[in-house]
Amino acid sequence: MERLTETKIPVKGLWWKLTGLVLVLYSVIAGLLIDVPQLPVIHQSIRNLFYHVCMWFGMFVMYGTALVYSIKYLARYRLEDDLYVSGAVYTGLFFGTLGLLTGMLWAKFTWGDFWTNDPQLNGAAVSMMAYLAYAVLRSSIDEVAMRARISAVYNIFAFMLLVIFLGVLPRLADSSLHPGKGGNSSTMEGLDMTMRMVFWPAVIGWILIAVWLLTLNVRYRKLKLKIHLNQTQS
Amino acid sequence: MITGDLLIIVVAVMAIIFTGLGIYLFSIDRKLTRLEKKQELNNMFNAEQ
Repeated sequence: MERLTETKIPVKGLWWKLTGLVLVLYSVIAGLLIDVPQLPVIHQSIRNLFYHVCMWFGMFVMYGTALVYSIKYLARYRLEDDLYVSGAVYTGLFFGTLGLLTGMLWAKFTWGDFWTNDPQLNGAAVSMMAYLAYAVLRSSIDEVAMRARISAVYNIFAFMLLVIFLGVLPRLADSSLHPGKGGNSSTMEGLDMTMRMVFWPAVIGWILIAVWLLTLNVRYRKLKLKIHLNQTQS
Repeated sequence: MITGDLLIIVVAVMAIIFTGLGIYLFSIDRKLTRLEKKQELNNMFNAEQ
């Protein structure tokens, strides 16, 4: 039977939240100030790598977390795991939207259009729609246990779609504007040491912020659920 | 020079926005912690009764 347990949030303390904030702030400032290599086509817009790609990292970590908690939920039917699944998907959707917006802006300045017919872009759109469908599916089922079970199964399917559309198909495509896809060399190979000193802290910072948002989301909804349960009992 | 000055303004504005967002997140976190403690106390009180 589904139940709400009293387990604590897995990541507690202040240090990692502060670290996330400091790293993101550092990457925002340093990302605008450091010298970047003058590459053809992308020029100064390469600085968007510190924001756009790092937000995608945050999104992937959230969707990965949702997958793990989906499996956990299906293994032991704990309502708290379902809160983590939905919280991680909603946080992932938020980061995915930020990633899409920054990517579209980048595309406008490098490829001349907000949206091009690129396998990576189309894959990102399909994956986002798969996760938006998750939100629609959840809102369409009223019964708590049924909603948790069906959406956990669907979430595993959505993660597989994400891997196929963002990880596999763009690499198999004949041509792609994205680096590292369609036979292009990876951007990471062209990153110099100065850029790496901003890029990796930014990745860690955005991931920590994503985890923080997830814990806030779960704590809020858990509290709401507890108050609701108390009110119905009394 | 004008470009350099503008860049500093952009960096300053971005730093202020992100610091503000950080403070906002911390305030939500603290509010939630307070509510969680209150809820725990309520539960204890109810259990005693």
